Amino acid sequence: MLTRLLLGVLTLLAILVASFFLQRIAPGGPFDLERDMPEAARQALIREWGLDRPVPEQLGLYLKGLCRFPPDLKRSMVQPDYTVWEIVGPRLQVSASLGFAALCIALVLGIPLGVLAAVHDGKMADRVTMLVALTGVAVPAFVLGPLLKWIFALELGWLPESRWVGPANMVLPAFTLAALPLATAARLVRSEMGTILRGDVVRTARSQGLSERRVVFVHALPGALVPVIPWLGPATASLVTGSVVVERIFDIPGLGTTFIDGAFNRDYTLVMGTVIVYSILLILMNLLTDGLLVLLDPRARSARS
Amino acid sequence: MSGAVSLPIRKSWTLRVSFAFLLLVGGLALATPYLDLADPDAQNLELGPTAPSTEHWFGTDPLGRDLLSRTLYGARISLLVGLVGTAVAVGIGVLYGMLAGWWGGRADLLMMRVVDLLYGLPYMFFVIVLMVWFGRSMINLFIGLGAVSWLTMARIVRGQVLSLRGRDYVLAARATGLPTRVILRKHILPNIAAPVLVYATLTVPRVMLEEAFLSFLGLGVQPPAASWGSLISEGAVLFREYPWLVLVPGAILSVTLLALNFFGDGLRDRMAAEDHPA
Amino acid sequence: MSRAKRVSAPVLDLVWDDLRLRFPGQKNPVLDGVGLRLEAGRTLGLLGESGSGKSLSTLAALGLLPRSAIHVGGTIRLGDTDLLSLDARARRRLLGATLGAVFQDPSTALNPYLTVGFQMSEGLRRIDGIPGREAREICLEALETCRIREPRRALRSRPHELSGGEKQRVLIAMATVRHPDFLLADEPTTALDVATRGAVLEVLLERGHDLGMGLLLVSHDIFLLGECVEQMAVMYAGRIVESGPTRRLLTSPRHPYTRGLLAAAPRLEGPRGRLPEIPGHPPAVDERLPGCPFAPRCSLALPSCAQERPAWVSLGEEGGFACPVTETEG
Repeated sequence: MLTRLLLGVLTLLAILVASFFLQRIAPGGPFDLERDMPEAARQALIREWGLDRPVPEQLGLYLKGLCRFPPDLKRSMVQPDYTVWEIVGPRLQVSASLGFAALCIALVLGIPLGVLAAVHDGKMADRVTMLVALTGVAVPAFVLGPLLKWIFALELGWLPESRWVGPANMVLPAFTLAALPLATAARLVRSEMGTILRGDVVRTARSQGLSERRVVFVHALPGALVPVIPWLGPATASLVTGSVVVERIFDIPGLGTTFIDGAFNRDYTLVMGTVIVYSILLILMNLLTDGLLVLLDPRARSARS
Repeated sequence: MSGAVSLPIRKSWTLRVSFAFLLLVGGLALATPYLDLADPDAQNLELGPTAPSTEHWFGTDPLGRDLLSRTLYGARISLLVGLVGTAVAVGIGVLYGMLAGWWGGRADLLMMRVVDLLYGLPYMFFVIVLMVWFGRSMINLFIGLGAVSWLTMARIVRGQVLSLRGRDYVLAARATGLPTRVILRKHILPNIAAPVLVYATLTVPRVMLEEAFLSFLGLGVQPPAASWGSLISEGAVLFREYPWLVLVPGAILSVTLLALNFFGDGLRDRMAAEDHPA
Repeated sequence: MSRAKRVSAPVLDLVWDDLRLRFPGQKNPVLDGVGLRLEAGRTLGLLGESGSGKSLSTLAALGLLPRSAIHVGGTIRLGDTDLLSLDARARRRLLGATLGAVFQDPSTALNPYLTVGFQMSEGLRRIDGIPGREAREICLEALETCRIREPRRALRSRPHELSGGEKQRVLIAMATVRHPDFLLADEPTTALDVATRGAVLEVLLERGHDLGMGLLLVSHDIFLLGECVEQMAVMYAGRIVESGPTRRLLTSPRHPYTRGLLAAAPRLEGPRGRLPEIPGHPPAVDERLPGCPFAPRCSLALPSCAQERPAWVSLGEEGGFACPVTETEG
């Protein structure tokens, strides 16, 4: 576990260094967009932010700031009235609750769908379920989002169409974001569950005269959930990616939008800030995944004790 | 999306139907310039946006441009990006996977660990940054999408090479002192061609989806050129008033992606069946 | 403390009668008229090579066939009840209570996520409604009689903490914990280390004897069966080719296949030498001849053997066999 943590920190560092250099070697800079700024003022800003110094030195200074407590994410280069944390913090809250809601929807609906399909292997229920799941994979969020908005907000008027003020506003974006991971979870569970249902463990359970419900839920399900756990890491990554689109469709002030705006504006410090937040989130998720696997897998657990 | 999940419907009719559909789309895309279509860029501001009609089958956009024509020309770009991006991804993935599988041991362990790490990253952010900072050109698009879509390919190739490495004919080739480069090209590559092709088929819809994602954010294909993704992006703003602007290209994109996935999965199942006859 | 054995109804025999099964995509039936009689409280050995259909015959009785299997004809009867015509519920009620089963590979048969105690006591608790504490005692007793050392520890452990031999003994205890009338054991020692096979087999036979169960022992090893069952049936390519008391089969086999098996198996005593093997392989399902499936490998085969299905020659108490050529002997 400790090596995992160390690896996580190393990954974080690698991502930081890579993004830092990528940012600095790209043509253009943060103060190019304000066209009417006098050249002298621009140069003064560049000096103030230390952008005239060698890149490794800049990186060193930035990392030094991060090592403080609390870590210093600096001010936004483009909106100097705010610190990066003041911009990122509230948006992280929005994005995290949206992402968490989507992940919950994906698991709560996707796992039972996968089980249902596996139990009815090859029959109608299986085909319908998997067609739904495949649609989730094939219909991109930027098609599904407007569609859901059109049906449920504009035509039926059941749900608010956008903005971010209350839990009801979260429903449509969360379902849009959940579609892809939901479909993937269903397919993962279906595949694993199918293998297990044809396997020896289930044959033993059935030969005991246990009810089919017990066979499926007590004997087959734990094993079928195993592949879902390592998938949670990549799933989080895909939620982060998907949130960029969903935030745009539903007009949500989230982290994805912040990142893109920061990238467009060359707001170096803001981009670095979001990159750090995302990386930590993903590393935490991967650590959690590893922990869960150890907890669930009897072999791994006894190897530890 | 996991590569290891199989489809419930293994009957070959799905393979046939999806193949027929893909042929149709591909054929239309190739034939587009020779069809009697409206100019996709010809504006007709007086006409403005109209719903699908006999005149304009898919309707027109707010600039009065014919959506059927734009969708067909968009197919050319979407498919082109999908294919070229996939080619880049296959190139990187095959090379990386072959080397990891061939070297084995620690190098392999390290290289696969890197792949695991990259799997966990929201790699599209890398492409976003690339497109924003280094210019929204087609070349950058190909490179960016290819550079983030090779992971599964590398894993598959590595697994194949690892198992081929111990085969007698490979050992014999090594014993005769053939250089590694030649062994990889003459003995390994032909033997992994089939799985590579199958997974390339499954990579195409992913790359197309990623292109559409970027175009939706305004970072992909740049106007006046249009892909399905950028058509959807243009339409999304006006969705409330003119829903067909999203629904038509959205439906076509979705069905094409579905067909590509079905096709790839079908090929994979067939290949698996040939490997392990019941 | 052992539960009182149900004494009311007399235990009936388990009879496979002309059972025929087919799989989709194959033109020949995979089981082509299987007839067996497992008498209550007695032991029957089912001998055959892999692919002969002996496992399918077992699974058919348990109702655990692959879903794609098609029932072409025949019955498996327990008294007047045809097991194959029962609905899933009624079928399930028999499992564990009337029919117990032990399978080949103990390493994959137990659920890795559940403790041994939970899995063993599940049927007692869930189906017989016995309270947990009491169920636990019953399991402990079963483990003890199956010679599991430290049965209390075994109850608390998970399958991966047990050795292969221990797992199979746990599975035997588990299959018999509700005292079924019949135990069907499909190659129960094949996957085990040679060193533990004898002990596990002994446990199985003892347990069967103690509980007065009818035991079906499926194996590919004619001498293993020869040492432990009263009756034996030889299966080849989906058919029973010979059956009868074990002694008779070992001393005066009538079917050329049984003879070949006896000749090909190594013996510890007697002169050593090259073992005569049966030439060729058993046919795949769709390569079977309409007549005797063994004909292509048989040194005694007549031209007619390939075409005409051999009739069953009954020897009365001594069983019977299906070969027109050796029928004329003695």
